[in-house]
Amino acid sequence: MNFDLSVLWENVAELFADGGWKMVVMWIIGGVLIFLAIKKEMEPTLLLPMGFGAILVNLPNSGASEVIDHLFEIGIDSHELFPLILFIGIGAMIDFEPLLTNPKLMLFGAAAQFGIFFTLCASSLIGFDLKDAASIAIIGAADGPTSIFVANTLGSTYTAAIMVAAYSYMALVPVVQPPIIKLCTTKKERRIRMDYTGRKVSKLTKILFPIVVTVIVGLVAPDAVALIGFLMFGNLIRECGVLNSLSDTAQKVLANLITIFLGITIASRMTAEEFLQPATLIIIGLGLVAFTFDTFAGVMLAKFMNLFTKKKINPMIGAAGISAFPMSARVVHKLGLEEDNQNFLLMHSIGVNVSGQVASVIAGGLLLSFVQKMI
Amino acid sequence: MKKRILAVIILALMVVSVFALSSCGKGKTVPCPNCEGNLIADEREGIYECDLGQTHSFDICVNENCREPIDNSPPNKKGDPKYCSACGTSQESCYACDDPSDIEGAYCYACGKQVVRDGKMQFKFDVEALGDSAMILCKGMLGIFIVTGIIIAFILALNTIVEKIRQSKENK
Repeated sequence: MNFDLSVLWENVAELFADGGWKMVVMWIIGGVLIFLAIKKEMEPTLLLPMGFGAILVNLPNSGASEVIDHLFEIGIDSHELFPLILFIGIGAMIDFEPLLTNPKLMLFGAAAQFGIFFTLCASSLIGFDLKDAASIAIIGAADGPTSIFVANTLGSTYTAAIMVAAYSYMALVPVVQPPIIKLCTTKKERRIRMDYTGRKVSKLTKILFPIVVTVIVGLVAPDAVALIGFLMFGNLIRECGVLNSLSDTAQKVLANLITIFLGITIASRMTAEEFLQPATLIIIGLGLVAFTFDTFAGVMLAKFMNLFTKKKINPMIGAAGISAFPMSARVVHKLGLEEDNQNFLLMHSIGVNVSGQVASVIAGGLLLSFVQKMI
Repeated sequence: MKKRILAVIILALMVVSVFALSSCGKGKTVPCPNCEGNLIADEREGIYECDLGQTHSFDICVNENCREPIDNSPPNKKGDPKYCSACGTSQESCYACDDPSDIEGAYCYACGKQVVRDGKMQFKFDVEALGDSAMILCKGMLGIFIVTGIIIAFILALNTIVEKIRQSKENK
């Protein structure tokens, strides 16, 4: 193997050339993502590949860029294949039973998508064009594949920043949500106990649920049918009871495999010239706005419902409608225990959390159909 | 009771104000770049008639799927290329392949090279864009609650039917 020293000098010189410092900044950003993934365990499955990919594509004359670009074309650019296949795995992981025993919980999942639309307004107001504003707003779905799907379908120029923000905030749910929940609720409200009946749901209901949801969403928001269809297909594999081996593969092997490729593929859009812009910081800020208003809306709907119902709802469970599954449900459960060590909210918050997963996909589909008609 | 009434009034006011805001949006109308009117959508030959009855001719978007009129006023002071206000396509040729029709967004579809950043973000407070977003907010939230309502109704009905079947089996 010949070692050509001139190549080394050429590449080092490129780092000191005009704009070369940006590559070094991207290495630092990649390093920070890897640090957060390993040391803080923040969404390591995605932040680690993204961090490494950010370094990989920002090497001078990187030979990896073409390969990763090709992966992007195959896996994301053409029909958003990776996020959709990942949804099969996610669907196979989700148990909708807590939701099916108390379907009214789905209202909180719907309310907690308010942050998406609020952020759309905020992004438009400060000057993003409609397709970019919608792509930024979908960070509020707190759902990586949905964010990728919407941002890529709309052809946003900020896909990488949107991905980084979406996955970072999903990892930061235990940090972001508690202060907002505490701000919106009183101590008395946080102590409200909720009974859990633990009623069993029939197998027929569990099997019909994914099929009917796909049909309903497909009729109302055809743009979301790919997302919801793949999610529900994964769930049907899980619930049918005769495809345990496939369900197991979808939950573990398939989801892990796609996650590996997804992270590094997104990094193809983390080139210095695309990522290092003032807009990236604004997008990260708007992501926080989306998560804040999602949480706020979920909690406020529960408080609103409490004004009219005899059986009081702990308003904190509304915050779990944000869809970051199952992190958000755990946060709510933990907050409940902090206030009253006998207040077990896990099953309720899980029910809201899975409904948030469905609602965020519906929100993504509706957003797509409205925005595509307007641009 | 007072709290309930107050909550309902606040909610109603919020909904009304968002709907009012949404009326500021420009929607799907294509304003004529030469006069105050809107273009009649079916005309696609370069000569357009607006709803004020005047005829105008101007450049049309290079994007074959769009073909909306392009404002012929000079580009912004930085000399950035013109973009189609309807689809956002740059009207500048790709520097690498000189193919104008395939440029959409930041990358040329013909050669894949980055051409110009489409719709580059500029800090400005745009009330028209806010109006459009507010309309999407109204429609989006309404849509989610409708779909959710249908799903809830389905689950409740299914649970009831299954429970009745179970009870009737037990009674037998």
